[in-house]
Amino acid sequence: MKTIKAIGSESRRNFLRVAGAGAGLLALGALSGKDMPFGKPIQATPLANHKRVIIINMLGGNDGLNTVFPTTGAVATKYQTKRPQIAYLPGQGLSLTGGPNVPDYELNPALVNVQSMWNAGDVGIVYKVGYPQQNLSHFVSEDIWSWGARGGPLALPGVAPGWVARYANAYASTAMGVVSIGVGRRLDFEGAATSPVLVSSLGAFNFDTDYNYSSNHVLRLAKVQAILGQQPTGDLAGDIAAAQLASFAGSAAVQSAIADYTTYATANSIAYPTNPGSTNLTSMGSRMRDVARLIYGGFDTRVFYTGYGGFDTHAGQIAAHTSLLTTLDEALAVFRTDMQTMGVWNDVVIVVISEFGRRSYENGSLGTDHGHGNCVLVLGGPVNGGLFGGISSTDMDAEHLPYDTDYRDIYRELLQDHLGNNPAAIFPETQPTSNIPNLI
Amino acid sequence: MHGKPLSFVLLSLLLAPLLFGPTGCVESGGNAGTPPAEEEDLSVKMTLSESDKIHFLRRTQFAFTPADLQRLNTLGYGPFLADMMDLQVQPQLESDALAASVADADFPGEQELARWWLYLMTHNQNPFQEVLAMFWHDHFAASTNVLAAEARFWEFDHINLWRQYGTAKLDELLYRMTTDWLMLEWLDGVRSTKNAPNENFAREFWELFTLGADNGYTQGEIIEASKCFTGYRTRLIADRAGPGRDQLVVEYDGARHNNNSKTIFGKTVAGNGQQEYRDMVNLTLANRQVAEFICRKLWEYFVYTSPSQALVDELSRGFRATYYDLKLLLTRIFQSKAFFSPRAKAGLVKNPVEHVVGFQRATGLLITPTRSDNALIDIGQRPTQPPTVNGWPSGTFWTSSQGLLERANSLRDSVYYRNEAPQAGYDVSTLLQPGATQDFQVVTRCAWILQVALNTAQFNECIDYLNTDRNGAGAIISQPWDPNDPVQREKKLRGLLYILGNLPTYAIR
Repeated sequence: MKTIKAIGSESRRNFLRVAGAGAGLLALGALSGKDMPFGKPIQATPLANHKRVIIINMLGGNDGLNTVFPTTGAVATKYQTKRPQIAYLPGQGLSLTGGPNVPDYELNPALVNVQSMWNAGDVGIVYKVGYPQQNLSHFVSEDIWSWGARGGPLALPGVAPGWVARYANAYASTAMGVVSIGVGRRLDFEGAATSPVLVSSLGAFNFDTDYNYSSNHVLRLAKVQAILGQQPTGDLAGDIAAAQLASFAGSAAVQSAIADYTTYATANSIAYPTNPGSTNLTSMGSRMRDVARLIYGGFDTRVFYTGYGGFDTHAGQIAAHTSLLTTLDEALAVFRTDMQTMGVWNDVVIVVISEFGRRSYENGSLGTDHGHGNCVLVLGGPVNGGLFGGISSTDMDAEHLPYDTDYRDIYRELLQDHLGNNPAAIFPETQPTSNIPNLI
Repeated sequence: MHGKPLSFVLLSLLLAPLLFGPTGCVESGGNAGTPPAEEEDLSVKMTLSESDKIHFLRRTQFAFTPADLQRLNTLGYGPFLADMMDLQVQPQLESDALAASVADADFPGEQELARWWLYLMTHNQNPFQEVLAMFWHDHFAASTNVLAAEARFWEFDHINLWRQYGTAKLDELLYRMTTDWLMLEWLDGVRSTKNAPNENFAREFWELFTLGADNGYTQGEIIEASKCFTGYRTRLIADRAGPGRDQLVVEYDGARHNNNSKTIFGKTVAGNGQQEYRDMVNLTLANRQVAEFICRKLWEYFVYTSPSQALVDELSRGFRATYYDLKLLLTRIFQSKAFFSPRAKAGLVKNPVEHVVGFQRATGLLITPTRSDNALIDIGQRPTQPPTVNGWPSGTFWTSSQGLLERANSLRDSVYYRNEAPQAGYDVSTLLQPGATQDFQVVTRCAWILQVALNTAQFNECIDYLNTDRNGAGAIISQPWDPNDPVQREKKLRGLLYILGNLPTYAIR
């Protein structure tokens, strides 16, 4: 099942690099392509014309209505009436009349840089995205997004439960074909035949040494790898051993990519946003930089999955939501510059999702409860900028916004027209409506 | 280089049951015979083998230690179980934990709170108290990250709820949970009022805490239940902890409670003020799904995953018959033949806390609670801060590449920080049995302490490690194992424990 080789002399060399000791003695040129099991070439260069999708998940249920809000007509009046204390009024947000020119909505005032991208025609806003029979549980709804099937794994007998795993198995089965950063082992990756790389951050993807006996510690690590290579396969322990071996090979390749990227970023003055009064990057700043590091390092990743939490704004929503969107906005701005500097902005598409939207009316705690239909932002060089779908006055009468674009139709569009892969086998479940937005 | 051949092969064969067990067991086919299959059998296992006892200790005590085994043998299994279920306050331990990790108990920091609990986990003489508390903390998951500085002291009571009531009656545990201050803050109970009931707690109360998702309730009933859960509020009390030291408290305010009658599960809940929190617990416990939900979750944590419906039915029948007595339920589980069946012993993935705390308890290579905390942040399971109300992932969710790498790094901390207080002066060779210090005896003993399974080739790699070193120029050199050389003892015993701790079977409990 697992495609990780037992560690032999080749990976032993990789491992010596990561262990630090003797790293300077190793000439990089001595490693051929096949010596790099993680698909990274010797020279750090972004792959040319390699299309990628970056999923950013706003965990907790982003309030789409306050992210892109109506400003004209009955729909705007109803929006303001149902949210007397938390609605944005016309002029309080950022105009969308630049670029594709949409006069009836504004962007949340925190999304300053998204507005610039909109003006450049790089942002698609898909409104009223959801799925049949919306579930109001965070966890069930997240799972439905992860499965890519309303009916869950039962609707997809015989295939991997997670849609990213199905994609990896069909079109990106290399070690770094799909990567998750900062959001744990998501269900989306469940069932991938190649042990997926799921990291909290790239920097931590490294083996620490015992400084009391650092030379001996290199020997210990070699013994660990030798012992893992002798673990029989076919059971839980065998699976764990395979994942451990992957961590040895992966950390070597990733740490060398980080070093390469740092040189490039310094030379080009690319700096991701930091927390106020600190040199630590923001959550999304750090995660988008990690995506950039892998792209710069020449890894063949097709799907990156990242995100951040805090969107479950049942109370005191405005301040929290503004801060969350600012975090995203600032990170996206630097990421765009970064990609343009590398010359790959036209190869990446970012899709910003959330498990559901929020109720159309505010609750008594200056917040909103779980809802249905939501808006999804799609950003990148290849994107056809504009608004896809929209909210009607009747929609605003309802407790929950309905959905008219199935979330899988967005993924279908990205697979078909951006990644160039047939999505049929990835989203095989029959769905009641299909309305694929022409995003690419 | 260093004569070993025949004797090791023989020894490995003799030790096969030890070296290959308990995780090397093959799962039996389980045909539907007349007597219940062992893995389904809830009747009491009368005679326990040593391997049974070790299995029990590994599942319930963070780690196996020879001292625990000896104590179990001295007391007998029944009394040992009764002892560990008795979650009494241990004054000395409690004050030591506070002194070791918290500067100002009225205003603890987030890090201090995590360290406080980690100290308890590594030092409690009844580790089951912390194992079970961690189970409930994962189940009724609430994080300190929502607490302001004036409110962080709530966390002591919050964690002590799981530590002291983990084996109580379920209704008692649930009622205390519904009125716990952190829980009221975490799921917006303190903002749920008469005219604006907040659904957050009501939904999770059923979905995640008692019934399971979409299992016997409707959205309309969530709205009704959220009206019952109204009335609590926070209040800042000036100088509560001394001059200039304001603290936040949670209080019940009847004027904020929605006292209309509600209809839930076809029954009418008359306006009953604060008592409706108990009414909601009782009304919920009248659904048999609660017993099934809790029994299944405990079983999957302590025994094996995906138990049959028949087993869950049988277990939950007993749980209901004892009026939801958790102590009796846990005792029944730990005494059952099923608990000791090959399927149960086939292995569950250790969660990161068990990995980090267990290695320290098993080897005596203690690290500071700060270092344990940092390691657990990296691996992704910081006690006191579950990521969501759904708790942490479980099982193979933990076996990602980086998670395993970070586990290796936490073991590195244990072997590296030899000069820091928790282990300064500790002689790691006390783990060895007197007079049994030859290389093969050392490997066998350390593998037994960590309960890892080694095949012959892996065993020989360990022997090879003890008899070599790597010099400054990076060359591997022969250096025959000398147990009397203190430098070798320190370096290589620590190194051996690090290597064995990185075996895949160490990640399994």
